[in-house]
Amino acid sequence: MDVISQFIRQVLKFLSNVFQPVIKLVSPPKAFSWQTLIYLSVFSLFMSYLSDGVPQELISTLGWIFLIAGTSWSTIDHPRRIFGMPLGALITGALVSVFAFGQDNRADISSNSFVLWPTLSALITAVPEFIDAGKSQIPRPEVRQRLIVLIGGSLVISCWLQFFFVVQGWTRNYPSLLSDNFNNSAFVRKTDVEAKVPGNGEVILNELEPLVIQEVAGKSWSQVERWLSSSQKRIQELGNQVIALKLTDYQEKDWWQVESKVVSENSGYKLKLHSVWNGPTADGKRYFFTRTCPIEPYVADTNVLAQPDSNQSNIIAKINCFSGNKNLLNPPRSHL
Amino acid sequence: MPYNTYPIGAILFNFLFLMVAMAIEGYVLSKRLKYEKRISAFYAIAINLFSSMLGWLIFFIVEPRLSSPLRFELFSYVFFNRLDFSAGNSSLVTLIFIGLVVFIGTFIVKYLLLLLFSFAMTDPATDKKQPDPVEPRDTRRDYRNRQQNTNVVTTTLIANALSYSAILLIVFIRTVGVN
Repeated sequence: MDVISQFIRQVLKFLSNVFQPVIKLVSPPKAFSWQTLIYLSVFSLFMSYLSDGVPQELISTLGWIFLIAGTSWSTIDHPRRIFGMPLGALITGALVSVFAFGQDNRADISSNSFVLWPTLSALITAVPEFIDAGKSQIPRPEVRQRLIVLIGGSLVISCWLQFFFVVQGWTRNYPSLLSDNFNNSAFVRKTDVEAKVPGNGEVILNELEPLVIQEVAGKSWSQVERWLSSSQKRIQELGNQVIALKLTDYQEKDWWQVESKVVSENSGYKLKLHSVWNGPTADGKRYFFTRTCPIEPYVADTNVLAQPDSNQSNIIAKINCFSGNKNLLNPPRSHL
Repeated sequence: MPYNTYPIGAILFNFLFLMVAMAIEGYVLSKRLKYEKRISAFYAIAINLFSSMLGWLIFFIVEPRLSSPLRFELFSYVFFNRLDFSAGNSSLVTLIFIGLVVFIGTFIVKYLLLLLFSFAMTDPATDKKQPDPVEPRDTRRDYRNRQQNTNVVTTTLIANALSYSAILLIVFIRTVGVN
């Protein structure tokens, strides 16, 4: 029995030794301490869950302020420096940038927060140097030098982060660039996963096809022949409509264009629709996607079309579009 | 939102250019202005960091307002490393013009930053020892001040020109190496 009780006492002692620092850390030494602030922020978080509307906003804002104040206070006593900035300044900077610049949705971290984090941390690092025992002061020249270099460096890092997000914006607004290869680029690398995104070139053709079929199908052959003779302009018009309608979300719409070509074949014609990319490419050449639409005459049922006075009108046009690589997500493109 | 493009190269190049410019300009400042090594290194680091930041800032402001042809050239260069100088293309002229504007712009900015930082480095305590401004002007010191100032201008110009030459050389070597 004695052994067991001794063992239990040992374990308890060990546990208390282990948890002593934790308990010491967690329990506020006096009413006005950083632990109190952290508890207040947790309490505010809890309360803001229970409420909604303006009070919720107010309480959660207070919670953020408590959290920022608490963390910055907690790290003053034992500063551990990373990149010349105390850990506390980095954490406080992160909290401030999320709180103040994560506008749209508080739960989500916006790009602004990332961009401003280094700069805010550097500024927070600098502030205590200008305050000595509650009085404002100008730090010594060496300290000033260090702070200027620190702030300058963090500003440049903020710019790099911003450039990262600018490039993301480019590929979002000009997704067709991603289907090209970046191997020559000195500045940008891409993950290859995105290369299989269907190009807007296919989207344009998919939307253009039914419009063209509508213009042709069921019309009398002579009408269609007349239409084909001036089809280039008409199809370009339709193409511009499609591009304006379907590519509104993309700035790259300026660089897409629709062209067409009519080739006579056997008894009928072959109408070729091209969506042409006029934007930058890896090899400097324009490329296009194609859809081929054979148009053929056929004799319609005379009973249905009761127009006995004209032989011509019995012959109407049949159109049927296909692209050889319709099933591919990223069809091979041709060069002009 | 998944990120699919990483401007690693751009960041590394900017870092390399900063290092080269700081080293060269620090050397020039210490040689010509007879600053202490540490002080001139500080000035070189500070003016390059801040002028680089200003450059990025101007880029972020100008870039969304670029015309379609200019954007074409920008993307061709950034994504595909292409500079199109074919006949009838005005991009070479544009490029040289932009380069000139950037060079003169950075020169002015670096000079102003140098003034700003040397002002930030003067100790308020030593300032008080300076003679009262009401005192009759000493024309000889005035002259010397002016000469010192022209020296700072020339030094900044030389430092800037040398660091730009070095950066252009790096870019040139890279272009030759790739093609």
